[in-house]
Amino acid sequence: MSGHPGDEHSGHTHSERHAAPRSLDARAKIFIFFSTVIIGVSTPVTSPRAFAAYFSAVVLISIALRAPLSVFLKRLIVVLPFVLFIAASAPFAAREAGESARPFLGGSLLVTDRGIEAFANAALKGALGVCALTALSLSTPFHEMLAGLRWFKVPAILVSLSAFSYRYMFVLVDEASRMKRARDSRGWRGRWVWQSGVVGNMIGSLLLRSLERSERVYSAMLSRGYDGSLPMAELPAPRLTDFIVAVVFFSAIMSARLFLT
Amino acid sequence: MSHYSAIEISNLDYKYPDGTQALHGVSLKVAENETVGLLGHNGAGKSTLILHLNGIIIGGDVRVFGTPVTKKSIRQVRQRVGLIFQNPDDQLFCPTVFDDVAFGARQLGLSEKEVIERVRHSVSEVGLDESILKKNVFHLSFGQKKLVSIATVTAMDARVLVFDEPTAGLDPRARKKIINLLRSLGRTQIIASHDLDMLSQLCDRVILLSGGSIAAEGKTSDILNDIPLLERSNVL
Amino acid sequence: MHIPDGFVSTELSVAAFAVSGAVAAVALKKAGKDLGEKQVPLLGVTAAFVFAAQMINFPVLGGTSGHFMGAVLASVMLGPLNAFIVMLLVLSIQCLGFADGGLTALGLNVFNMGVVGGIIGYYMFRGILAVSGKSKNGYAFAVGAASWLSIVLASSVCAFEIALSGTAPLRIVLPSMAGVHALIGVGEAVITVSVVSLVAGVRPDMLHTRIAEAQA
Repeated sequence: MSGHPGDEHSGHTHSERHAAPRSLDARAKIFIFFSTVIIGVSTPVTSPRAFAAYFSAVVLISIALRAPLSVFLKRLIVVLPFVLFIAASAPFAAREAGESARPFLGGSLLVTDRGIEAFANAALKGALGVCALTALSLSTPFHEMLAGLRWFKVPAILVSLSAFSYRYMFVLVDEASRMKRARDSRGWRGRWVWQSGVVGNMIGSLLLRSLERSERVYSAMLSRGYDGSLPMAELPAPRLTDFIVAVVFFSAIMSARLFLT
Repeated sequence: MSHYSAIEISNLDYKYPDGTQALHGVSLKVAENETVGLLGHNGAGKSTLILHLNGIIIGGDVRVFGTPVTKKSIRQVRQRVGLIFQNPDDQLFCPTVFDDVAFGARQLGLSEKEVIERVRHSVSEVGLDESILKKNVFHLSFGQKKLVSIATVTAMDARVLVFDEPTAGLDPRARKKIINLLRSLGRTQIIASHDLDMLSQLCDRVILLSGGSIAAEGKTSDILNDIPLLERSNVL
Repeated sequence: MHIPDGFVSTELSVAAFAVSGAVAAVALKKAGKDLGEKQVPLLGVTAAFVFAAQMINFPVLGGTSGHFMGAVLASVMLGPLNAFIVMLLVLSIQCLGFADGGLTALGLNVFNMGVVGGIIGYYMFRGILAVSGKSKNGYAFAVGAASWLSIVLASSVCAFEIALSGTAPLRIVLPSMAGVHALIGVGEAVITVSVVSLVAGVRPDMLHTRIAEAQA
């Protein structure tokens, strides 16, 4: 299980503060980054030039979209080691009959070419996915992303629910970290799994507070006439630049896929 | 002006699902454009009473401008009576300030143009700058969230504003700002609070709740200066 | 356990999107019909809760730590399909908002934690409960055992998917994933049991499974 670092907050804040006022349309960004990931995953790992092109394209557009570089790097540092760690087990794949293997670490381990390829495949594509999704999330406020996804026919109920969760996520993360601080300030030093009961009590009170909050929120919604539908904000009409950027970017990625492999 | 009271409740009882008696024989009237304080110890029934005022809890004889609060009249009642909850994080559930202030107005089925107009007007009425509309609710200060909460209700053009602890958790300056705002908002106001100083500044009349019933009711200065009464009712 | 992009084959990704999508369609339709308007705040806030709870680490061995998944907790609280929706929301937001878990692997991650963790976890709970009895201890045992199994099963399924795609050999990835998660699962079980007993004591009306029993 990978971790969800406490500094996720900064990412949230930054996407609000840094997104340029007339930034690229959310639909265009979703299209650009989703297609990069999908095309990237479908590219054979034996074409390093294509991957170089994908990564450069993602970096260039991130700079153009003013995704804050410091947060960008921080996210990569958090998620990438996990990706690489999993990928690292690949080279030690079982040798099939007749396959050549070479010694590794002074001959104590054997790695196969197929294994190295599997490693490169997972590491490259995993990293590309992380970069593209990070660029998307840092350049697009979440409610705009949701409005964009709605345009791409994601069901309305799912979009409303996500908007709702995202709103309260940060309130509850704050509450959780205050509880954590209070626990640690009283000198808690849990080191073993059977001491997890303490964490259970914390999560339990967080849950009770959350459920009671959901009841109060529901009352507050009813009192303003809520009847089951959550109106979603609509995105402003896309401009010509949005089309052009999306088409140019997509063509660049697609030609890398077709001609550099 | 209508000849009905803004709010009229007679002999209201309420039991929680677990059997606890929260309200017992509560009767009260609030005239239009009156400001009434609702005072009482923790658990005296203030919040439960408030939830009856716009039909979050339906039951008993509760009338808003003469209309009984029932499942049928609920839309009309909720437009007329606006509740401002104590914790603005419970009240504000939309991603941006604009969406939140617009929520109630949109539920009324207004055109988007009217909605925008109302949102602008309400936000400036509570003394906030229009630039706040694009912001994410999570990034506001507590005081700003309180003000936005009020705007979410005035945007529905509510004629009765019901506040649950409007000054709780505010610093002295923000508190002063809210008190001045409440004074300038007009309309009919019902303010549930422990903040005796605020009640004395704003209210024409105070209703004192104790253990689910009305212990006293009268002119603000009479109630708030009756120290033995307040002690008997577990307020002081 | 969040699978990144590029770790699983295209066939497997597509199949997982189809399965998870179909379950999502059923679950969302049922949620809309059953409780309607009240579901939005309840499911939304519960998903926010699971996200926040996943940030609280618990100790595993000598200072290393794991974190909570919450699928069985959600299913004991809300029922299997609602638990699936909660996990779907958490995983989608982690993927799109925080680049945690791959876009093309989203279907698989939802399958592993929503279908295997939440739905199958729920029926394991019901199955164990039928044997362990509905006494207080029997109930706690069923919650704990199902939580542990949900973690071990979900991580094993995850290992099979990675191995089946040829990314890593099963003989390495299965024992390491299942081994680590057998320990993490203990933490999941301890936490889920203490959370559920707390809720059962204070707000028994909030427990889906208790309500179901009272009616039966």
